[in-house]
Amino acid sequence: MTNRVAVIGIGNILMGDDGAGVKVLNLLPDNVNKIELATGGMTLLHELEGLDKAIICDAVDFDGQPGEVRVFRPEEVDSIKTLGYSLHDIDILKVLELAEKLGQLPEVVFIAAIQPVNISFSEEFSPEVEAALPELASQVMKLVKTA
Amino acid sequence: MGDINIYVEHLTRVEGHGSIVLNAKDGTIEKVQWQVTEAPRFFESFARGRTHYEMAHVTCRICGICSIGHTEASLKATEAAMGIQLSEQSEILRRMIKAAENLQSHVLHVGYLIAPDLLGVGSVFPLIESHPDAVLKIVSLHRLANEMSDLLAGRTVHPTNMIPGGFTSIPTEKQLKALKQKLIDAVPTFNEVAEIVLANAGGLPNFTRETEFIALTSDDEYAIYDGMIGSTDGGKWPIEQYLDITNEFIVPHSTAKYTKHKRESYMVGALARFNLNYDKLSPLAKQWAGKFGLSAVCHNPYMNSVAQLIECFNDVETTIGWIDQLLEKGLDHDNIVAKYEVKAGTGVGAVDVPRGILFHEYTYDDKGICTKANCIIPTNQNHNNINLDFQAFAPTIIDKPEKEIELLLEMLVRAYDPCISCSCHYLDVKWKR
Repeated sequence: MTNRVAVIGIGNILMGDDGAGVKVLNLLPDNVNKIELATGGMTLLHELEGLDKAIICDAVDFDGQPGEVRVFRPEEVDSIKTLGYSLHDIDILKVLELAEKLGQLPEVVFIAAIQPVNISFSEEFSPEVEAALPELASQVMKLVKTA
Repeated sequence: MGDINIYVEHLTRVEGHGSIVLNAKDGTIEKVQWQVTEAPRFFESFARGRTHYEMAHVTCRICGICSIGHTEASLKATEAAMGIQLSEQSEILRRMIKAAENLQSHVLHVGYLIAPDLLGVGSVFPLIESHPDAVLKIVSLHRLANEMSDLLAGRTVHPTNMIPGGFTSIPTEKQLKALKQKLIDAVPTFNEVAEIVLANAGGLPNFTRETEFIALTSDDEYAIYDGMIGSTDGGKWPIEQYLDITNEFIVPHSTAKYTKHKRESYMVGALARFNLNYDKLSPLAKQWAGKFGLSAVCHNPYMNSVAQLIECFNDVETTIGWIDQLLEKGLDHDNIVAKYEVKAGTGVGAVDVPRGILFHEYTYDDKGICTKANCIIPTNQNHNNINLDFQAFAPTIIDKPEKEIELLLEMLVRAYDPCISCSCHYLDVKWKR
């Protein structure tokens, strides 16, 4: 059986480096199954269902160097984001937890993260993040290719 | 009586957030406030210089939940500015897409945010342990609403196939028939979820403060896609007069603009639509309104969540009706987009998105380039009303334990389903040691 693999891009391209997870999808080959989730929040739950492997690209503040690329499993981190009153500020780690509890989490989930510098209203990336996008794409491709 | 100092801050670093502040001394409230510090999104600056064709694709990224609503408000503004007339088929399909968004957002809000409050758990996570069947039902309904958006709009978030004048693609008759069957099959699940909410609706505080409700209203339908601006204080206005309704102003404790119309504040959202359009609700929706004892005009903001649930039934039933209408006439696959000439003009577009009435206004030059834009989102129209609700409600609950006061105020804000920080989706993590 063919593994069902998808690369899921998360972020808002109108909010500076937050859009890196979406923009990197453009750097991946056409034969990769790409899902531009963008600011879809809870919709992630439904995109995950039926996948064997999900690679989630997102801007992540992990106290790294500006533009640093890091690949990790969700269980390696704790979210320190506080959820607010609405659905808009959804935390993808929470969505993954929900998927797991519902038995809908793919067997393999990676987060391909890039350390943002500037998350504010802009359609431009910071130079560090812009320069690191090819590295993010190459890390994602390694994850796509490994069984 | 001891002093009470509540400060519920939902810090999310860069993007906006709302905080609840309550200070009381010897049982007397000194300060109670809903504070919003939202980073301005400079809507006008990113709209200016865009071609009319790009506007909907860019502005739909203002919000991940109301992405469809922003697309439609944007397209309507562009179509109004250039005098573009949609075909009847396109009008129906746009309405169905609007219903899909409403359904999807309401199921999420009631299912993931309100149900935990009503069932006395902190979030949806303990709910999976305590009420697994209910959560699975909610997830299946959310999935259906997403499938509906994917089919009709090309994509649930940041839809792809709606363009000025119509569509780039439309579903087939076979797909519409399948969707209709899925909606019919989902009605029992909607009923079951509504039963759960009804059984626990006693958890919704009985708080009433008279206010003005503003929503789209129409003589022909339950207005979420089109209509005039209506007020429960009386009056109807064409959407082009939206600035006379919203009257934006600034206050020191909020970076978001406040609005007011005939009174000190007004409310928008599902309850406002319910209050203004009750007569046009579908039969099953009316039946559920009766079961919840909800009648127009209801002034209890906590009932906004119930109004959302009632709208879900309306969305399902009206969509089934629209599918029948389309199938009866037969789909026209050859004329899915209207021909038009790019020209200079100004236009206003309004839709009633899940959180309330939304306005976009654009001015284009003769090349179809945007020279001026304005956008007024529902949540900003509600902040002022939330604040006044706080001032009226807090004194009535001040003798309760601090944690309970905090929860009741949080529930009040949640009932409005605010959109205060949907612009960013980055993660913030620390490594496990």
